[in-house]
Amino acid sequence: MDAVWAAETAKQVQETAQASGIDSATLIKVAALLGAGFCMGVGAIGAAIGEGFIGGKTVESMARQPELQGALTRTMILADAIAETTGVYSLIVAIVLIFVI
Amino acid sequence: MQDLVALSVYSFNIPYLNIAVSINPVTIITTWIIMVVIFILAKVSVSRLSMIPSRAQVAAEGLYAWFDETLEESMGKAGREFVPFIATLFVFVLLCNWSSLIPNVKSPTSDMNTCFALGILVLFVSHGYAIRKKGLKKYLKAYFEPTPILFFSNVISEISKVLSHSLRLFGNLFAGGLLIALVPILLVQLFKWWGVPLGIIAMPLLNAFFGLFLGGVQALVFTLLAAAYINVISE
Repeated sequence: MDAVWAAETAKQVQETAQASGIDSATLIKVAALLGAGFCMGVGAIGAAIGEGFIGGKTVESMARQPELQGALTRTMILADAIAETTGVYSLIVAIVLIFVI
Repeated sequence: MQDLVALSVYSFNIPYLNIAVSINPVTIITTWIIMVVIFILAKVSVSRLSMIPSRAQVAAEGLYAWFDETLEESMGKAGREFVPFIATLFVFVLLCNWSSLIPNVKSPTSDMNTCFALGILVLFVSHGYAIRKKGLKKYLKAYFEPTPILFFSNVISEISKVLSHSLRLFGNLFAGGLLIALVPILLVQLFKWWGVPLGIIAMPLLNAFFGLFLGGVQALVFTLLAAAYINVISE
């Protein structure tokens, strides 16, 4: 099943390459670079929104109880690292697409 | 010589299953060197205990006391058993992350194998502790807990916890190391001659942010999440 799908995909890439006059390996590289750009671009949105939300809530809590500043800062940095995780996942995929494929 | 060692990956084939297993020698050697450094630091800071502590003793006592408080308030009385494991995990991951600041050294956590090994270690410790504390039947019943329909969802959430735990550490460190390695090359290519002074200004800032700050934060997050996982599974 997997081998049939792989063979058909390779045939389609070959046909597209021959129809438009590009080498097949170049076409794969072009597609990989395009995919890497989309991947990192869309992935950065979620991380940024999440961390902005965390920062806003932290400032709000600090305004309500200024004596908890140290603990609130530490918790904010911890929550930042966790919210960044999915952005880092898309960074890994983008780096693999650029450098390995 | 360093390049030859870095590029060589020793791989051998498991005969019946036809799986290729590869070992990175640079990662293993660096990990052993970091273990020796931790051992020496521990011996030095505990060597002459006195009521008027030296600076190394203050650092060691501060580290132990901070983890003692944090684990006791999150895990209760049983938390104190875990302080050596959690504190060692923290110091190991911290030194691994910060070892990329030494020139020519590649940090072991920028290799996927180390991060997954640490994740699997936390998996075994947390599930083993839960089985030993609750008994096998209560541990297995917990998978069917809200409704038996959610069995597969619970199993998959355990697996994804391990994956996200390791991949967070790996992704941050790998991307940081790659950026620190690529930025001088990119600056010189873009600015041709002005790239060199720009690089001299920008590199310490980059190293400080990605190396020191992110490395420290990721080590802390890894450790506190490991403690939280141990706590959650053993309730």
